[in-house]
Amino acid sequence: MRPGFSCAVLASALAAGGAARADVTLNFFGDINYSMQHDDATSNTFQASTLDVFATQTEGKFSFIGEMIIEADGTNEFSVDIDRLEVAYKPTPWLHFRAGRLRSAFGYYGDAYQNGKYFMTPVSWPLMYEGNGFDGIVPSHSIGVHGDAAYGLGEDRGKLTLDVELLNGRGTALDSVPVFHDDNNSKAVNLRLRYVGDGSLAGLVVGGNVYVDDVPAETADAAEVPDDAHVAEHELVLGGHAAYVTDHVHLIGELAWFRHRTHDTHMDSRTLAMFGEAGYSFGDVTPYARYEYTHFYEPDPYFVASGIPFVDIHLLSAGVKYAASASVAVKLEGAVDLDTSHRHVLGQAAFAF
Amino acid sequence: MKRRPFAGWHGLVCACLLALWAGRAEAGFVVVRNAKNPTAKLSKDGVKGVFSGKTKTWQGGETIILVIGSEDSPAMQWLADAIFGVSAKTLLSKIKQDVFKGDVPHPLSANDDAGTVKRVQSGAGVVGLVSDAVARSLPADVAVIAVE
Repeated sequence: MRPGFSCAVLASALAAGGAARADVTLNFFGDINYSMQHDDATSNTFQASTLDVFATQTEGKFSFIGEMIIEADGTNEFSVDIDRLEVAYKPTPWLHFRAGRLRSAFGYYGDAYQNGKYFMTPVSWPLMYEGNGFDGIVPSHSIGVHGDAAYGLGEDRGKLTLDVELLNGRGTALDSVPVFHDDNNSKAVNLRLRYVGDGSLAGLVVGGNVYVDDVPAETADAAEVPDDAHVAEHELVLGGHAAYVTDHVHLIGELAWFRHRTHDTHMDSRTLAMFGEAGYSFGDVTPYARYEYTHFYEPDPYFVASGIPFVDIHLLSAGVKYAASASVAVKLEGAVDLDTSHRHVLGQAAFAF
Repeated sequence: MKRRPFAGWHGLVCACLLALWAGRAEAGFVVVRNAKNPTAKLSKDGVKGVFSGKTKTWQGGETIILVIGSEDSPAMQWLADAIFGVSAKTLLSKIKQDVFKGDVPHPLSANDDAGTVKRVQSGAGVVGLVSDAVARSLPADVAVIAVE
């Protein structure tokens, strides 16, 4: 089925609610870029590669979110992805359940910004979440059930929140999300504990994650196993994050430590990924900088088979965001890989209508 | 001595601008609720909590649904300036982000008082802003939330 046809069908399906219920509104998110890259030679291109169609509806204690992304992810071919398909139930102000395809409650960035580049200060996610045309190593999407509870610490003293998730977890590759068929029977468990500030600490979020999963082997059929296929692995991910985001100040730091242990030989592959970013808003203009570091202690068969090279990353980027309106932001960012000669300049108009 | 007429005009223009500014500052808005919602008063922080998404339900458990205008609607500018101390652009971006995250229900939109009143009439948890003048003659199923 052609993506264009799929888009029309899915958009119609989402909008059908709009005809029946006047309060259902479709929102559109996306970005238009001009990118210049320099390795040995310089290349430049315009990009209009993402359209995100978002719909939500609330009826009493139940709500629905549907998010469809039409994206040319690193190629010139558009494809359609249902990024979120959630039904939520909120029986009390401090308890919340969700089920469906959702953004994992891992770290800060994933569920703070979802796919809205308009809301982000830099032009895109940190590489540990998503790169230009590939999925990051953080397990940021899955299908399953989510529950979160909040415990208030008193007036203006913030709250503790606990997120618990039971998910299908990883597919056979980073970009494979098992939406219909899980490749193994074990489920991923994700726990996130956070302090969310209030009063004089409003804007502060500090927390950590424990994520446990079994990664399925690349294929169960030995006749089809490619040479670089990975075997089944047990996965443990520990994460920590701290953010202080106010109307003016933008500070976010995250780290995640991964250990993959093969089922057959118990061989470990460890990876450490982290980033820190800082910005300060002067009215509508926010200059910012971000540093990203990823270290692979050993070659990780799962990451390598997913197209992530066994090469450490030291990436420094800096730029400026101009909030042109409540729907459009214009950004200009330059980035350099400190280990290679790769340089990148990107101008972006990100929108949220 | 020759500069006096100019100084007079200058003073007059300043006085007019001052009067306009004073009139604009006095032209306020009030928070209105559906009459089924028993919340009769809120502190300024309480209003901030409602419109920031920090408070998600009314005391009776009804989900809060906002009625908001566009970036340049007078009510939105008043809310952003008088309650939050930020620009309407910043406040709207924050609301959009919370909606996109799934933290708060999608707001209803209305760019004038009549539209806001109609929206507030549509559900028990709906809350919006109307001008002082309109607040004096609200329909029976819409009531004011006094801000302390």
